[in-house]
Amino acid sequence: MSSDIDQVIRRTRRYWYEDGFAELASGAIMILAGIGIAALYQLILASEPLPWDSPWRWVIALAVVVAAEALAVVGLRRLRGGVEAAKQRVTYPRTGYVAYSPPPQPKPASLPRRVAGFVLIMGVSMVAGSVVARVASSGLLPIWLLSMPMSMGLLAGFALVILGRRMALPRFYGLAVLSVLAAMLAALGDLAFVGAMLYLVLMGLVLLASGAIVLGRYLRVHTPPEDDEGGGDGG
Amino acid sequence: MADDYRGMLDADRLIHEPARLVITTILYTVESADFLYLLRETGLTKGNLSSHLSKLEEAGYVVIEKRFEGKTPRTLCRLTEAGRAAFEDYRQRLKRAAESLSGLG
Repeated sequence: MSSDIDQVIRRTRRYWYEDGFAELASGAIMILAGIGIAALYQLILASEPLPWDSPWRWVIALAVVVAAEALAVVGLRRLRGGVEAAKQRVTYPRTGYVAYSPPPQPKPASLPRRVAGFVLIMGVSMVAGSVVARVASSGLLPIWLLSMPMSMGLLAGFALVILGRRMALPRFYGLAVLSVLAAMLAALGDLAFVGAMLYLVLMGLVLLASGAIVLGRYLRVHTPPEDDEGGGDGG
Repeated sequence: MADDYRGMLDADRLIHEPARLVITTILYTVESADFLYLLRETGLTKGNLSSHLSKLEEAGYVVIEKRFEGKTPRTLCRLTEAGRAAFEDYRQRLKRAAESLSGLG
């Protein structure tokens, strides 16, 4: 019976992914991020002719970092809002409304803790960077495996496997495999920025296709209610 | 060890009933769900679901709120703190009983 309860909990959680809107929105955001990276890359290229000690190089680099962060923050905020709006029109009248609890907000950390966290992240990044550089120079692993698109693809694949396992959604395992394949394909094209852009666009298209298939199947199975006027729940 | 599965004798019978157990499990997982969603997930008839929800509401485990989204009526159900605590207690008892039974085997 305990496993039945777990099954109901898992089924309720995965309702969010039942109509494919989450994948459609994630795909669209990934493609936009790819386009964003392409634009930022152009900005970096534009600064190439400038002399190394030119302050404009720093201004452009700073602008690129700020724009990338703003893009990520706005994108993530829009993602949930967009999915919610689509569900309001399509999903809730067909199969019912569910409001998920917002994730618990962590207490804001004190300044010393924040500084310690920053130092820790920087330290870990530096160690990871030096390990990657050593492995790359040792020739133990092919260089494309350590490239920007490959690390993005592996990270996204790992996240998809965890999500698929948590929600018992086998299609996410397939998406994880496609994420790695898209990363390999992108790494063949370029190992840095252009490869990352290629990966984002390819994976975005994969998610759009997956979302469209899931949505199509959902709409075929669940027709709008006819018994209650206006599609009410009749409770 | 016997106390663990005897603990099930004191389990909340209001939640123990299969249909109500599914309803409380769903509502425990989310912030709120509407009548249509519960109807679809439980496979109960409208009358049956209403009756189970009323019992849970009377016990103070569930809050039922009717509202309109534009012209569409929506009946929202939410587990109260008491309902949440009762469900957690029931789940703990069930877990302990299952553990003690598996220890016997």
